[in-house]
Amino acid sequence: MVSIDVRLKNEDVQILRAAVGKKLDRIEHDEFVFTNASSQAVRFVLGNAIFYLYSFTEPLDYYGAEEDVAVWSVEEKEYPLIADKSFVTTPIQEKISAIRIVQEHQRLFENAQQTYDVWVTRGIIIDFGDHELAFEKPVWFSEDIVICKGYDLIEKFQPVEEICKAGKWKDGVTMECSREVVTL
Amino acid sequence: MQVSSNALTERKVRKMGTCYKGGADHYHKVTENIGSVASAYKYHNGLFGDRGQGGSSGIRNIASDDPQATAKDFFDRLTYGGIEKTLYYKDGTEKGKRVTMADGSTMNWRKVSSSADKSPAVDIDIERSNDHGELVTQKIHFTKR
Repeated sequence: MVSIDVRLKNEDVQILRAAVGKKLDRIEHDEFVFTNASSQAVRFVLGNAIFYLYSFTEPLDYYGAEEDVAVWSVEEKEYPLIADKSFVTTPIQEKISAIRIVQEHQRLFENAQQTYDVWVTRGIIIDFGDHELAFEKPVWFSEDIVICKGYDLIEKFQPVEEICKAGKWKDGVTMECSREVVTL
Repeated sequence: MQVSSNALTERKVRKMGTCYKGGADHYHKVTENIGSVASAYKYHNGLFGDRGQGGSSGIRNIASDDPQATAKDFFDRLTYGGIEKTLYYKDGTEKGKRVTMADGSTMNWRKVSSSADKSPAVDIDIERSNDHGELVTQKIHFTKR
């Protein structure tokens, strides 16, 4: 059985953990043209502290084929591509009461035998007490980061049933998918 | 007065000074372009080309004598009238292009993919599209015949 873990790393989680209790001044991202998505990066500004949520493809085994799979990271480092971006600013000015990381567990079965066990970070939800700001990875290969503001935003994430759809897999192949939320 | 989101986007695009890809006179939905692509490439049940490697039927192959030229032609047909931006590697060099269509679908063209043959690839994401016909989310590799 192949095991793959592309959840946020420990050091990424520590950066998020340190943000809890602090005021998020603003986020900076690509201008929304039609969809509420930023490509490859979002910048978070908390006073003098800055960190980025990045989404870059990496070559990984995607259920039997080597593919470019989008992997998220949270880093203080600013990569050179940021200089080429024309970010717009979205003011927030809210204290972060909690951060929730949405982890997804995908299990692939071929003729009832499990062949893949995969963990992936599907999204991050920042809780301000009375409302939320969510960041979601829409598709396994997409470097887009979908941004939403509102309430109970995990309910707006793509349902796991969509990922398990039988038509997306070869005959004899099925997927089971579930999510767990880690609260910081 | 009610204004459609499409009209709002068109205004925003004019304000930004952005041009529509290929010199189109309006912001295209992907459904306006599928006919042009389907007339040149195999298209069945919302999927282009033939099934590729791996367990997912959303990974596709289109074989040709010149994969780079074929990938570019495919991408230009599919994304005509969209809004094009650059995709980068971390170091700031160009990885490919990303186009957003008027229905909310996005397409990426990568000159080099991570597959063993480093074939160019086009991926189609219709998860936020409000009008995409039978087209489904998929990733297409352009391989050497």
